[in-house]
Amino acid sequence: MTHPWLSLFKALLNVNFGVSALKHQIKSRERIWEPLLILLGLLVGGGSIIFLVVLMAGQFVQVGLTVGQPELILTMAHLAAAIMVFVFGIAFVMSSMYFANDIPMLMSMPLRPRQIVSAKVATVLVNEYLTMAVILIPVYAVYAVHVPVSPWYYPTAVLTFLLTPIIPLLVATLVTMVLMRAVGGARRRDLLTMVGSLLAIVVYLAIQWALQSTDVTEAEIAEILFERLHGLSQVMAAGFPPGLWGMQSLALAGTGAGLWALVKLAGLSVVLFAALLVLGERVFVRAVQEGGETGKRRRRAALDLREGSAVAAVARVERRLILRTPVYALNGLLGFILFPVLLFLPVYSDMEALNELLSLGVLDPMVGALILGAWFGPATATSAVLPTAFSREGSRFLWILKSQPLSGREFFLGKLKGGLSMMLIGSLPGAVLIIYLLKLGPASIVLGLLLGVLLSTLISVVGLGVDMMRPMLNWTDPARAMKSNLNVLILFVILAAIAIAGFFGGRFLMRLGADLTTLVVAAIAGISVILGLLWLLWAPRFDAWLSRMGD
Amino acid sequence: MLQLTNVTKRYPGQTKPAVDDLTLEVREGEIFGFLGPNGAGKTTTIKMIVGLIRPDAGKIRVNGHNLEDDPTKLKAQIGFCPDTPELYERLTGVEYLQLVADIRRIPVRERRERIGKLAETFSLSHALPDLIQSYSHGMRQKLSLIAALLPQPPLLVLDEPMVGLDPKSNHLFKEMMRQHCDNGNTVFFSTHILEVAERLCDRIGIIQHGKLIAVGTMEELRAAGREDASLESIFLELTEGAGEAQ
Repeated sequence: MTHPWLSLFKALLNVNFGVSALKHQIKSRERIWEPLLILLGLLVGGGSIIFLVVLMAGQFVQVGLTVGQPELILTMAHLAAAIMVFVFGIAFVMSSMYFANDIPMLMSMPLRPRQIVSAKVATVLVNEYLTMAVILIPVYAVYAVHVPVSPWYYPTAVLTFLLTPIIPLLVATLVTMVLMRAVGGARRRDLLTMVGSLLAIVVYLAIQWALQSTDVTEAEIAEILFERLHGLSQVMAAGFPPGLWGMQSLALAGTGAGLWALVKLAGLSVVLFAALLVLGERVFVRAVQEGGETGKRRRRAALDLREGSAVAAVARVERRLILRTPVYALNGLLGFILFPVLLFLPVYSDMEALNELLSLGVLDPMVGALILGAWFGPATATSAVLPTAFSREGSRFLWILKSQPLSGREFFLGKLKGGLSMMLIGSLPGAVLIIYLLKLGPASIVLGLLLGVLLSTLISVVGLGVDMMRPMLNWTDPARAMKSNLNVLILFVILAAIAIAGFFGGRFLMRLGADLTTLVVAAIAGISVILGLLWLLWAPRFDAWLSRMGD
Repeated sequence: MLQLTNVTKRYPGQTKPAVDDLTLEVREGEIFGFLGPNGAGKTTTIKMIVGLIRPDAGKIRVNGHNLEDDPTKLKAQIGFCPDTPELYERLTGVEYLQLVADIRRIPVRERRERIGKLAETFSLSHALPDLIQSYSHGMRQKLSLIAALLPQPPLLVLDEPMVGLDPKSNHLFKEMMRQHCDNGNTVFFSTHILEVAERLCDRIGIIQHGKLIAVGTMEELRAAGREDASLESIFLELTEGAGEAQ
């Protein structure tokens, strides 16, 4: 007989990856092209990321070799992996453990809370392995190609890879559990959950940055570079020692020091796992129970009704649901806060150099406009709000809008208006920061903002269109609608194609002698044309897509 | 009012269709009860009528509007309440009704009047400013029914509407259904409560294995068997007979 924990873990994995649904689809031979297309999308998307990682890792190894510290790339990769797992892990764990539809069902079963908690975290961990695989494995391979490694390197690499996401994920889980217990009985629980999660992430990043950017003298720099073993890595990983241990286990593979680093990595994982089991047993159930005890929250007097259009009504509901659902807000809007912080911290530490550079007049105002416009791109693209707008309705809620007399066009425009307004408002703090840091003039600001708004609109329209064509409606855990949604990846692939076309188009124009202002204007015109073409192509199909949705 | 002509729906991987060549007409001003055992095809039929899923074959028309040609106009004729009232939990009751009223383009004055009246009837006025996630199953059902009634639609399509309602609301709702039809509108609803169907419905349709096995008034259904037969005995006789035939 299979152990209950294993059965639970297998069931959660099955649901997570839609194994039974896929088997059923293959068996019934219905839309068999869809999984094949998804596989192709994964190969293209994953392949593109691996290609970029290999390129960057190669460069960093070369730089590391010049100062005799090629292992720096391993430290950087482990630190980047840890930050990603921690930052996104909080939202994923929160969604999976506290907001998933299956929690009441699991809680009613004769399972220990620690069994539920550990099975849920293990499922999230499997997802993290898949994400980390496209970053860590190429880095390990690039390192082994450029630096002579012992035969122990390869088995150690497997173990290090398996251990790397565990510590940040467990830290994220423990933080989440403490947070959820703390806000459990609060009246404004959702708001506190969001603020608490953001605070935890910002504190984590601030500690990393503070420990890395301690003032060092020239003599210390010389020591770090030329005398201390793994000096740069030690400075870099000062805020997160497991990043250093991961590097040491690989760079010193086959030696006692390498083995000790691996033991430390495994040891801390075991300690944190034990803490998870203890905390899971003590606080998980109470927090979930308090989550179910929903208090009354009078938002405004009854029957305060204002009239609006159907499109505005859909947009308003979209915004409210995103902002009031912690897992959606964290997954969809985190980047708008994090990116400006990540951009500002390093620049702020070297403001003098930037000001000096600007006073020399080497920055063309149109480069500033391009930077300002381009900021809206990643800000919108990394938010999963638009490419999951229909998926988030899920099979549970789709009936609400689909049974109403809404045309496909109104449905699309409502979702676009709701999502895009959040993208533009969210991008503003970053845009203001760029305007301030680069001291942009009125012309650069106007052109940059116009380019940015159009770029954001294009990304939103493409993402929304993809999601309307093939929404992922079957999910138990709301974060899956955003985080495990292939439509986000498909959007990236399409955007990569548009970006490559834009790059070659720009190069072609420059060869013809175009200046930067012409390039900015051409980019604005190009995006407008693509938007117009997409509208002409898609608008007549919205009704058909809506009618097929959830069928 | 509602016409289904040779409607068929087969789910992927299923050998037998969920709804098989169903032809049915529901007349203006009548309450039509749609009965059948579990898995007979009631909810699938209802989902097709309100445009949630597409039929594989056949035509659906509501008040002259064809589902295939003009789904938006067809949906504008219908107020719908599903079997499980899954509503946006992070909206308040008022916000949810406002969404429906905006989509249905109900003027502010009218919507205020109608919501006030309906909420009072269902004793839900006090809860409207609260988030839906704090509602009980019955309260969600009431909110879902209010949303369906809000546009005063020519056709009400209700899937098991009485489930979760308290006795008082249940009684009031039945009266409202009758009143809705007396105003020239139509109600099409599915139920497992045969006594309600027997007392309330002008006509009844019984579906099994996706096929309509009987349709008519109580008198017409009785005409096929004993004169004093209850709907329950007719239902059991018909469904067991059809089950054996399968």
